[in-house]
Amino acid sequence: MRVHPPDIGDATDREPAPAESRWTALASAMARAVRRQCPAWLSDHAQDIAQMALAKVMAAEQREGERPLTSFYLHRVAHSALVDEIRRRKRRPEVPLEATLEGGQERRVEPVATGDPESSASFRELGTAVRDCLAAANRDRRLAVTLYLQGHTVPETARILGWDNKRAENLVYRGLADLRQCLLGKGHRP
Amino acid sequence: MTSSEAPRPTGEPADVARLRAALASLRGDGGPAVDAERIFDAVHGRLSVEERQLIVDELLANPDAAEVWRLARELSVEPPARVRPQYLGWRWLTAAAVVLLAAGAAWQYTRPASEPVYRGSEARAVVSTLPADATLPRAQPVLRWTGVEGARYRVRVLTPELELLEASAESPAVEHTIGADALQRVPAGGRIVWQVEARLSDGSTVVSPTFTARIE
Repeated sequence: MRVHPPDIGDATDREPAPAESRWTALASAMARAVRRQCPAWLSDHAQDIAQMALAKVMAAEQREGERPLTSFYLHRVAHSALVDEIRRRKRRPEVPLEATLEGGQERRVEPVATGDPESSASFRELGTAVRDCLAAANRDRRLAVTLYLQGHTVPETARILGWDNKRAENLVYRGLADLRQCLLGKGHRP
Repeated sequence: MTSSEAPRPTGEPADVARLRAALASLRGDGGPAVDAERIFDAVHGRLSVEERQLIVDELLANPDAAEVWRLARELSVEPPARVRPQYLGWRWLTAAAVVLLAAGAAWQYTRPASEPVYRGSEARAVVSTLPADATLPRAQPVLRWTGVEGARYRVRVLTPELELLEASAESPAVEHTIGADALQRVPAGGRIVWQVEARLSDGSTVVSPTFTARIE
């Protein structure tokens, strides 16, 4: 993961700026937070998403009172606005869900395209079987495999679950073995 | 943005991509709204280990939460580990409203008409149907906005300094009459700022831009 130190602090700390310039700095920082997380296919709408994120900040301030406007907080709110927008678009079947990698190469957001055999009911049945098998598994193995199947590496899985790498690796390995056996028992080829 | 199409890391079992994609193909049933910010905190290690484990355990039962988790991972740009708090007083909210309004106006006026429809036919946007900076009769100060099917709304009415004058109860109505108590605090010809929060049938919320009006 890349680290992009925010610079809102720099913008606001040089001198005791008036409120408006502080807000301008905040709005600018929010725009950057959105752009840094925004997929290329959505970048044309980054400004609008930043505005939605700022509205969330305002609503939170009005609801809960003042809070520290840290860069982490801005990234989190920006992320939340982006997630809202991406999920909203994914629910609209007429909108092509294409993503662009940094090099300009395009890829799909959805795991499968419409009409792909893997998008068939049988594919979702496999997903349901995976879920059922994991739900019945030992908790630690379930947590490890769930994160692994969410796309995390073993070290990331270890960090999130508070384990050391060796333990996470063992639990992922054994959990996947259990999962394969369970799926075979349900008549699915893993 | 799918695990199934990402290059397979060295040493990853061959069937993992298929299992990932199958699990990701599950769709939510419109259950409780997902707290994306909490999931963001979990992905970035800002919650306790126990809380993180509880959230991970929820991912199996809640495909919506799993989708948000995947987005948190895929969109991830690591925020700073240590940041200096920035306390901005109430005064900044006034400037915030001004900037939001200006940004909203700029968006409306600079957006090319031929651009693919985003907000214009956006079924989920909440937009005032009053003229810009409308003057409302004090006897019947009604705020109105475009509706979202199945949504319920809460309205906040504030002074230009963003002091809360009134917050409505949730209602399916796409209009709100400002109450007498709030009106008493607005001088003749005074300006108000208002904003609508729509809670949609799927549990998500849409917050409108801020709008202004004058009270006769």
